[in-house]
Amino acid sequence: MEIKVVRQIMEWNEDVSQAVKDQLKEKKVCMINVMGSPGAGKTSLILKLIEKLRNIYRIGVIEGDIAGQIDAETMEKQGIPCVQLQTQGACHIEAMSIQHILPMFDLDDLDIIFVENIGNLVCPAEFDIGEAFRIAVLSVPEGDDKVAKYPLMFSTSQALVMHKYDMLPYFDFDDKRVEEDTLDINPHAQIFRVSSRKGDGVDELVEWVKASIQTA
Amino acid sequence: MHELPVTTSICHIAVEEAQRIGAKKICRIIICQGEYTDYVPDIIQEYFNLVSEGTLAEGAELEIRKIPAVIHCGDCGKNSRGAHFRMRCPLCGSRNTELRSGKEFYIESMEVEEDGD
Repeated sequence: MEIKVVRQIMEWNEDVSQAVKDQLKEKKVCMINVMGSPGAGKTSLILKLIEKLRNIYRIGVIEGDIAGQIDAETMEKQGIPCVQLQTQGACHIEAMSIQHILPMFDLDDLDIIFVENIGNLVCPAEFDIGEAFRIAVLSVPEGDDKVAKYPLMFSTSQALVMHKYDMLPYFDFDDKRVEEDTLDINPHAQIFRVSSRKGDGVDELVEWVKASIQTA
Repeated sequence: MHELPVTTSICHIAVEEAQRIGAKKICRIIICQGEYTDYVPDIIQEYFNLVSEGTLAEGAELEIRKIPAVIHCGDCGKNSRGAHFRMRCPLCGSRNTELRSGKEFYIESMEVEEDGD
């Protein structure tokens, strides 16, 4: 016999994601999910944002990696409270992991949590983790076809950062194409051209982050 | 690889629903999947064969029905079929659009055997 079910397959993650979202809202903490390939410069970008935002906001970081704690050590050197999340091989972070980690922070003492997701252009995009918004990072050396090839992540992010933008003269990277491809799949995306190393474009991104935190 | 937790969830939900009505075996699970999601049906079936072992869902076949991505254009007012996650209206080129369907991912129904079937 046939029975009707109609249940969301992602329900386990969506329920927890909503609980995380509610908890953070109550504590007035804005969580930002930073996604992109390994080597896109997610850690450098987060460090740069922290440098510019830490005089106004109290910031914490969750570093997602498959193994090790290199990034957490980098954050701690900056005096930023940081928890390293090791996924033991899993290719993405789920809301449940964030829920387990939040008690390790004093949420009354934070305004922003950056989550550096696992370096991966595919899987993390499918999993809400309770974030207020997402930033996708695509670096110039990765190539200008990535938005077209891996659309989901770029279609679900509120902002795209074309990172290592100072490398533009050395690569055949058509930044206009990336912009067009992104807007085709995500018409409301905000697009930034940033070099964390040289500092170009950082201020524009910082202003957008500040404005987004206000409305989150 | 993100299909593994997804498949585990499919199996979990199916078994829970089957137990609720006292079914003794799940034969088929019908899943609706929007075109603007990123799960690979073949991988889901492969994983399913593993994660369903020893449960009521062991041996069940998954039928994944695609739900087309439909884009509604705020400028020309028409609906059209989307492809490759694009949100641009294929008729007039506008980006003033919204997705009417294509993000679905749920278990729609199941075929089960009850005692005495």
